[in-house]
Amino acid sequence: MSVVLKAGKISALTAITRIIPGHAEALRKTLQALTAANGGKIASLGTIHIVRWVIFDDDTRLFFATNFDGDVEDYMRDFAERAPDGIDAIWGHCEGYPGARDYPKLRDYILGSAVETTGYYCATPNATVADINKALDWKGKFDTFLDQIG
Amino acid sequence: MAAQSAAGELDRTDIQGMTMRPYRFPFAHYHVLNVSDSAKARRWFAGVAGRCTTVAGLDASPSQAFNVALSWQGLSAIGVPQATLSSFSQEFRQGMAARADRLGDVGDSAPARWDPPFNARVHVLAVVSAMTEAERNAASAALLSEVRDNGLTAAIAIDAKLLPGPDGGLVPIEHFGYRDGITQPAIEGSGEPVLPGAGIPDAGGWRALKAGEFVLGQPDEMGAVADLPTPASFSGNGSFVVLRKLHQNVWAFRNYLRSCARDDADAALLAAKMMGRWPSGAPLALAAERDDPALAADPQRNNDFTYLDDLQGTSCPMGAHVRRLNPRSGLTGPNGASVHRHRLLRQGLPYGSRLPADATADDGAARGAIMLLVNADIARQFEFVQKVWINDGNFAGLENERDPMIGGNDGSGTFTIPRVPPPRRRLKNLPAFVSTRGGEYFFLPGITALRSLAEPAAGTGS
Repeated sequence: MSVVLKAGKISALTAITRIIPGHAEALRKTLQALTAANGGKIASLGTIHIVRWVIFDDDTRLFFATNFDGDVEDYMRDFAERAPDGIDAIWGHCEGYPGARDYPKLRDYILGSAVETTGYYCATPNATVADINKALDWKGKFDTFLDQIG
Repeated sequence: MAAQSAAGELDRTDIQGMTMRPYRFPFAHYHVLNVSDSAKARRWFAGVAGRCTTVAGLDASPSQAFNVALSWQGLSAIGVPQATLSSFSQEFRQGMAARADRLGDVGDSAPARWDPPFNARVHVLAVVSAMTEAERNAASAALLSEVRDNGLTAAIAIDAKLLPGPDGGLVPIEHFGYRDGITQPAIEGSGEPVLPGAGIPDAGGWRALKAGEFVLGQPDEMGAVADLPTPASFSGNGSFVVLRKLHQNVWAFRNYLRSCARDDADAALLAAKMMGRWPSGAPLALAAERDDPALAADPQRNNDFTYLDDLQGTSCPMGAHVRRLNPRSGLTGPNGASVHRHRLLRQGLPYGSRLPADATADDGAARGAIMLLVNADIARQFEFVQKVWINDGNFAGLENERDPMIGGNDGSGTFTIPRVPPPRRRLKNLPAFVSTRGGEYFFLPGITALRSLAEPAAGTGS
């Protein structure tokens, strides 16, 4: 899948979809709520490094760019099964969206609206979200230990 | 759109037996056939429909069984219409060899190195199973004499059977020396008892999986009927069977244990940690310190655990083979949410002879397992297990580690054994102990679908 570029363990995907006229404001509120509180539900998926949505072109289009661990096909289906309401709440505001409960159609929709990545750099291509969180956790514990003996 | 409501009653007389029930026949021939005359072959399939062992047919514990399945190339070769062919999933249409990169079938396991006939596309899998070798051989001879005049050519008959135990009797162990086949998914409507550990843990103990995880046209664990290849009259009550011919390098396994163990007892412990069970089959989840043959022999107890009380893996490591392939409730966080969407019913038997326990060198013999893995969705079930659970570590916080027994290790693999008290022990320089030697994806049609092949327009339906 040339629209998904991989660096080490990290994949990059960018998709652009058309917003249903009149839906931009509701979509804006949904995205702001979804990404508040340290990522909320997105963080709980455990494999998303960064995700960015941008409403642009005079509220007519939605830009979606994400970096995540693993291959898109391995996890997109699990996302769709675990959080179909969250996916519906976003792309339900976009034209042609088939719903998250029909996985093959969802995959075709997302990958079909994806655009090829032209340039991509990742500073930590071999560290997954789980690896990074674990390393930071250990670093915190080690600092606490040093504080105690110091 | 996927239907939201339940389909009709499960018709156990229309579903091939190996779709829903684990075969316990000690002997099998796995015949691979190719189509040479599509019209004759179609008539043959319609004719053998009535001879195929069904789920209901297993109720009477028959002394032998017969089943047939076709690859996408096989369906194409017998003239199934294009509209039907193109309605099958991408992975089934492509076939196993084309999916090698996803599956980790690279290097020594690459399709270019596969044994005949799997070095080319194959059409038909015909499985002859029996309680005795004589019955199996007679059934196979009859099959081979009839296929010749029915538009089919025999490519190979793989000789597979249980291995002899210490007293010479046949026992369900695999070549590395471990009892095999304890965990099988219990499936609603199959007629198999729901043994503790077989299905899904719930408040009342254990429940069976929904039939749709294995049978096309039935509701699955999402409560819906997934989209089927068309027409539904052809795909309904069918399933998919994934054939894997896996060579086992028993000498390399023993050699590796010798190289990193302190003594024989330590080697036995390391091997059990890698496998997740002791040689008897006693699970580390219930017997962390030493083997317990009495526990292993009790089907009510030998599989009754969830890993919920072992989330750190100090009894059974997170990366142990059996825990990777069936993580149960032992995955924390989001990866634990969908474990029951990746289950497989395992059929198959060992091939080749055992490497003697006192062997002092590698005999180089071909030995391993023919795995027949049954599922309704090859990408969601088999391929996910192979790619994520076997050949990745991130789902369980294991970084770059792969399955220590069957993962695609390259001599630089590691395996982490958590311990109380810490620190953990880590095995290094893991090579591969298993190499893929062939395989293909097959469609296991329902009986009515097989019968429909007698019609020239089979597969188009109404």
